[in-house]
Amino acid sequence: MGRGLVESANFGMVIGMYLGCMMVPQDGRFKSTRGRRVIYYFILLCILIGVYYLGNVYIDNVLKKLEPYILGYFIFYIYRVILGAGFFGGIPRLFVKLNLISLDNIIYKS
Amino acid sequence: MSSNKWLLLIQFGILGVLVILDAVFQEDIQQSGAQLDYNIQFMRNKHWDNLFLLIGQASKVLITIAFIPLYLDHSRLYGQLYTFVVITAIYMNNILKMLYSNPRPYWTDDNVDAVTCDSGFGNPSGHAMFTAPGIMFLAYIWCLNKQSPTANILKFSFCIFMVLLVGFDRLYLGVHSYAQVILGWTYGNLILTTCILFKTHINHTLFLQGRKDKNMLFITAASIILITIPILIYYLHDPYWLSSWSDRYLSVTFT
Repeated sequence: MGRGLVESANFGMVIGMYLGCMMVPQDGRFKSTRGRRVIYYFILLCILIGVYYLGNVYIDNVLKKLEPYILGYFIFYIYRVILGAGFFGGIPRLFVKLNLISLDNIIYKS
Repeated sequence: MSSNKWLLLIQFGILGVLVILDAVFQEDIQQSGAQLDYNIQFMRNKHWDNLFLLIGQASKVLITIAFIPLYLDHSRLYGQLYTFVVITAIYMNNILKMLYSNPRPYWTDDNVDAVTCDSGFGNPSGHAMFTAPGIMFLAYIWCLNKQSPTANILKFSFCIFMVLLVGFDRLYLGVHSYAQVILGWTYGNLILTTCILFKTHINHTLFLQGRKDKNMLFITAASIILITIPILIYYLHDPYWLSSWSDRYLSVTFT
């Protein structure tokens, strides 16, 4: 039975998000037509549900068994960092390359 | 003082009261929580089981993937802030679970059926803690569009209903007591209010890399501290543990 150590490594996702966002210019805004938007949402949904189930059913369960060992925690942390960087940096960059979305440079208003 | 700061103060007050009540009446609350779960499970049948299992899984997946349309389509900063809120809630939930070390209702009460089995501690409820801020964050963005107050009230009511539904789902499945769900909502909404109140600081520190070197140093230091805290709690905090809890968990898991 786990005590929640490995799950707390989820915070790696925020670090991954930070790294991922550095891969995409901050002054750019994603723009796309409605048709293309449907395509990339569909692709993303498939990827995410795939990653979610693969992650939850296989990887997470294996790593949870490693909980008494600190190594499991670090492996899980790195996995989450890669996941965050992929979703916030890698995939948007890939979509820009595939011309599914474009990056319009605008002055960003927070 | 702005209304947001008052809201934050009120939430801290509510949390304080709940934590004290939880500490003082822990036994009674656990018993009454298990009793309520048992009463709710009187309506159990195969269809309700499937529906609530679906709600439990779907809420987890939908809240996790909601950052995609927000990030790529609505506003990058809101997408990032949303992810920050949800992940912080999950992280805090795991730390709090290790600190509280409270059992789930089906570990302590033979009458409560476990429709699904979770192996970690029960207090506060993880689903309640991350779906509540996630859904309320979406409600906040949804209501930012200048529409009629009636439309906003309807949207807000729908979101509140979804939060309540997820809470009820946890009771039906027998994995949490009402006190654990309420505490989860309180912690979750406290995280949300704090993040919305300090959203400019969070966005500037985490995402608008104007001062890259300084930010990188801050992020590295923060991540080292955040990695260390759970490890310290895990090794230094010795949780109260009854062998009957694991016996009950194992008997439920392997039947």
